[in-house]
Amino acid sequence: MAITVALLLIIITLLLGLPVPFCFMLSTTFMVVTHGYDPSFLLPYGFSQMSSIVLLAIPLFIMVGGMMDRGGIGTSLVNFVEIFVGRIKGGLGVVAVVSCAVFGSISGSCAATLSCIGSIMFPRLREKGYPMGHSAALVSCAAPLGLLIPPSSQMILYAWVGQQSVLACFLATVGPGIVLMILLSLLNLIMLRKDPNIEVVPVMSRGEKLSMFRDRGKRAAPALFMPFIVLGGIYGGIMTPTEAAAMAVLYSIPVGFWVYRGLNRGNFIEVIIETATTTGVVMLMMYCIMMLSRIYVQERLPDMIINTLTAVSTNRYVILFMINIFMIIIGMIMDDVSAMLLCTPILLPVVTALGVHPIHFAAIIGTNLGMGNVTPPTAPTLYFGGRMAKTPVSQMMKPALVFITFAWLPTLLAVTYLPELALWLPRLVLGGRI
Amino acid sequence: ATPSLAKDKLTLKVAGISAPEYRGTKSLYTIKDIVEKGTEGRIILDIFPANQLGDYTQVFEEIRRGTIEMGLIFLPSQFDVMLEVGSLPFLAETGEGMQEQLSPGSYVYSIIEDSLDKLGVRLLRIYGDGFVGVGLARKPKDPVKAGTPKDAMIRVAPLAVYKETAEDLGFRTASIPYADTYSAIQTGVCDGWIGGSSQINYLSFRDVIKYYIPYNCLFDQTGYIIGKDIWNKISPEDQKVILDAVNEQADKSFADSNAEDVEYQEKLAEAGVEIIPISGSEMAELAEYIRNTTWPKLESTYGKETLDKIKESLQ
Amino acid sequence: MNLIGSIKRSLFWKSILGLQRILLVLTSLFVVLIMCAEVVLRYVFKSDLFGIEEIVVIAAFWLYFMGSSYGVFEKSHVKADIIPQMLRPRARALLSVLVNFTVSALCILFTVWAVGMVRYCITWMPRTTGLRIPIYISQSSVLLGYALMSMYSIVYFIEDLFVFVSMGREREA
Ligand code: NA
Ligand code: NA
Repeated sequence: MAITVALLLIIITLLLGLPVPFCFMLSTTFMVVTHGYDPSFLLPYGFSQMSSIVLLAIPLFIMVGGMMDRGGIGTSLVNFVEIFVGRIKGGLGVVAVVSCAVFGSISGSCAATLSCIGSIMFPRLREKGYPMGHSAALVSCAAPLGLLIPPSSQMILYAWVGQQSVLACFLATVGPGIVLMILLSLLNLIMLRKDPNIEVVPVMSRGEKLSMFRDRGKRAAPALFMPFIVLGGIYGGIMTPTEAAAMAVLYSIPVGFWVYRGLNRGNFIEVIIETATTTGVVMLMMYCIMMLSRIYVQERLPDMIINTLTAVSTNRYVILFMINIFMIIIGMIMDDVSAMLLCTPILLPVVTALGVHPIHFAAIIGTNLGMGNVTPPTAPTLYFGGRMAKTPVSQMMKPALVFITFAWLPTLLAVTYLPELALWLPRLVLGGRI
Repeated sequence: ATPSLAKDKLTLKVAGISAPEYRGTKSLYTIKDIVEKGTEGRIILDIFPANQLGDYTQVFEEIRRGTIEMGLIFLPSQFDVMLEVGSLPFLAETGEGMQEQLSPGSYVYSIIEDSLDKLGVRLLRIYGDGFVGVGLARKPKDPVKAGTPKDAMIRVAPLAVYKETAEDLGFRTASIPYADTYSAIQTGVCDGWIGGSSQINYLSFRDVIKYYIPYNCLFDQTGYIIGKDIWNKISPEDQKVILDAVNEQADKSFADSNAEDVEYQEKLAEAGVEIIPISGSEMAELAEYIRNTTWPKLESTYGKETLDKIKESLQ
Repeated sequence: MNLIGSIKRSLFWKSILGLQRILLVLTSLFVVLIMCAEVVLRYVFKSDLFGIEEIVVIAAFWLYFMGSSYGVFEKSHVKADIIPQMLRPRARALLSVLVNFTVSALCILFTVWAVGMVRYCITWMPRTTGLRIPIYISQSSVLLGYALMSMYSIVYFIEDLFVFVSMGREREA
């Protein structure tokens, strides 16, 4: 089947090191040549699909992440979180995990979360005697919380491809995000409970704690105001997600320049160019996958997948299990954005035909492909984390596998088989129609 | 991708924009059955509903290019603004009037037909989807009087006709993507929206709106269209089979839209949405106000002559 | 190698890159400011910029495609190179030549297709529904984007080819 060859072509060229959008282009070209698809409609098709103001929220959230990272917001956030959970054995690891979640409520990307929290936490963890392989693996595995806690560029993508409410999709991954945060924190404490090298910060008196809370709170307030603008603005009915993202960028500029002073005239332009390039990288992938997904539809690929799956079993839960396995494999070889773009148009019609709620599936796919960031061999977040922590990946592998097996996989199972975990919050906030 | 002409079998890809359960989409499946039987399998219709092949602007462009053969879609105005003319506010006040305006033989129909013909597309018939009202989360001021400020902001589609009509009725307008409209109303970014029939308001918005005003100022419509090149390749007998099937569905659509409007207004009321009724005389007043206020503003778009001729046809 | 060096030092190359950087900054700021202006207008002035999203989308397309072509220049497009890491240097250099060749070929092909798309738009002049802005204004960003991608990728292809050839010479010597 040509369509199978077209899919294999993507995977093979990907492994050979062809950049992702070009794998999609090559696959499209293959279909054009073998099936007589007319390129004269494919290019405008991709174009018309992308003419959407909803999609514009992605570059804007990428920009916010860049501004806040360079602006120097992270330290104050981490210091603030530390007051609450810093003072037990392994507590600093918990601080790192929770900080990733808190930063996730500002940034929409995994890489920005890792680079911001990692750059602050790795030196501190090293100083207090934490095993660095463990620390690097922990922070890397927690960085995808940046995707699960809204806003999330992944969920905007999903909402856009699947014609769902961005708001509902944002809320769907909060449940699994919280479960993951708790599991990672617990695992970290268990794994480090007997480590003799770890220094524990002495317990403070109530008065000390209170004054520290005041000082650090004041310092963190401008940063903590950011999720208030973004999420408050969206859920409070003041702005659409795209507008909220733009407002967040606007807010981050003076905060980065004059409050945290990480931004200056020199690096400001650099941040913009950097985020604009990242945007371009994401958008070109999207443009190319759009052309390809049009071909999938015309070849009735979702129907073929349904038929294949239902031939094995007609039980919705068994099929969801198979789909999860499929996505885990995709997540092992692709980065999260391209995997999301590849999977959503193919799988969403499949699961909705089986009666899975599209918002429930948003949480499944978000969790599954979020995990793809740390599953080898293609584990960009894990490798980036290793580079930042100056730790060889070989030392990270064992703890990373523990975190994947005992935190990520249980979260994925929970969100797959307990639809309420995904749906309670959207239903609570958005009412009956969800 | 190209229709296979082997053994005289012609497969036409038919694109629809509505969900599979919607009656417009169902009409496509009915047409498919009739055509495939009537042509003894010489013509196969391959149906892709729910924007699967792209939104209506894209589908229209592809029907021109021949990469999609047929469709039941909104007629987009990106190539020719005259294709919007069927969306003139208060083109008629009643369903019967609308059917007359949008069926072969009327002046409006001929404008649309000619405009499509110039673009290489053949109009088979116009399908009546239904009158459009305003769904709102809170009660506006003086709802049934045109021109007075309503103290409410509603979402409009990015079409000058919609915006002008809504503003002349007395609403403030906001441009919000359709996909965001539900949550925008729910969270209060805007107070409501114009652009959907009672059915769409019931199916997609009943949980966020509290009021529905059946202004009937605009009429939702889609067109059965086919690429001229492919149409000319079809034998006259088979053309007739297609036309008969389409005519039957199109004629039915207007009657269905009336019944449906009544049915879904009742359902809205059952769901706790207050229907703000508009009496016949109030409707006539609204229509006159809009024709006198909004139409002149649209002269620069559609031409004074055209609008005068349409006005004439209304008498 | 001299050829590549002189291309990269040429005024043409530098001004193209400079222009791209300027466009990236301007379109980014424009998009942010307009979206914020819309919120302010809605709440402070109780009015709406009709069709503003059509202008924003034009800026967005230029941002996307200038960004993606600049990404080709910066070599920052996402890739998953698992196999290259397992190869010896010379085999890796050969694979890199092949990859760059494929990228260049695809870029050129898509540039040609994009020419067709823009030409159609200029002939038939489709416009946006609200402000009736010609679509080719945003669509030509796709064409220019692919053209620039072609340019950068061809230069990188030649560069890698030189590297591979010189590796071969070193081995013989
Ligand atoms: Na986030
Ligand atoms: Na992976």
